Amino acid sequence: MKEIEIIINGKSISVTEPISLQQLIKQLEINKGKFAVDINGQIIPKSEYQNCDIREHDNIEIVVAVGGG
Amino acid sequence: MKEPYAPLIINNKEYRSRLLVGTGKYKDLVETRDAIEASGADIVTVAIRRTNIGQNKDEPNILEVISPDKYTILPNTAGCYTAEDAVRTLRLARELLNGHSLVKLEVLGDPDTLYPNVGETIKAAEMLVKEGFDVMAYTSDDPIAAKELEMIGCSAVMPLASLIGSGMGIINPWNLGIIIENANVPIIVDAGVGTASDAAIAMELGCAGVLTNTAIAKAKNPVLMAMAMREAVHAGYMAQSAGRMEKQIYTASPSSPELGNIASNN
Repeated sequence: MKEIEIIINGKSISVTEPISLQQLIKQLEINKGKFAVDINGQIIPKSEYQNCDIREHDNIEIVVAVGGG
Repeated sequence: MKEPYAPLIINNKEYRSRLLVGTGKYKDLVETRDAIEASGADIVTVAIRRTNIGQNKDEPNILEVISPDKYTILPNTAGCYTAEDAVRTLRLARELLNGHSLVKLEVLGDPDTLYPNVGETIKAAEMLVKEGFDVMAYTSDDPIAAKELEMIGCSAVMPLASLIGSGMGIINPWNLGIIIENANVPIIVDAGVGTASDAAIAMELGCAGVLTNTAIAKAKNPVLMAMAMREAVHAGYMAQSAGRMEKQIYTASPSSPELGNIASNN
């Protein structure tokens, strides 16, 4: 068990290792509607959330669609 | 007589409406939904943004009111200032929309004018086309830039009429005319349309379609303006198909017969 620093949507947070992307998303309570995730610029398909381990200093983007022109 | 009708074709796919609409700046999602529906548009743009972590968890999502089952969702790269950010945004959008490949590329050059950075736009378009995206590229009304985007393989080129959100209408119809004349892909005016007549003029110039957001969202009555835009695009398309009369500079021509009026001696 180790605390690691990661960046989510430009903000630094710490989480406890080991943690999968699936667990992280659950922890962040992102459960509504469609969203997409990339880690360090690499798209992570939904099917891989469970097997994707979060590592120290990972830069994670979690996005949704919003109104726009 | 049957009204002329031809669908808008982008990358071999047909769309019934030549009006494309954005979903930004509306009062709420109900107004968004009602205006989009009234516009009759098939292609509807959305932006891609970071989710609010820990806040507004129950905030409704735009895709719940503008369903991808009903509309062709066109994710944009609004707010991106580099090719890299635009490409990253659209890769996320493709994942978000289950592999959907039609996208609106816009790479901005400056936050005050939101004028496109054509160099970065071209760079991003090259990368996106290679990755299998169908790119609709927002650009300036520069005919050379428009041609270059077409040559790269963009599915549609979308020059501005005037600055984004300005409602200033078509500032340079001559440049648009040159772009349309030389194009082999649909040319869609994007940005600057302020009211229905602007949309009609764009269509009369020979544009394949019109993309507008603020003109509808910021009208006093957005739903009514959406209807007006729908009619204007259709009217402009019909007028263009009909072929306008030649302009007679300094020469009047009466519409009524010259002979037989009571003041004449004939």
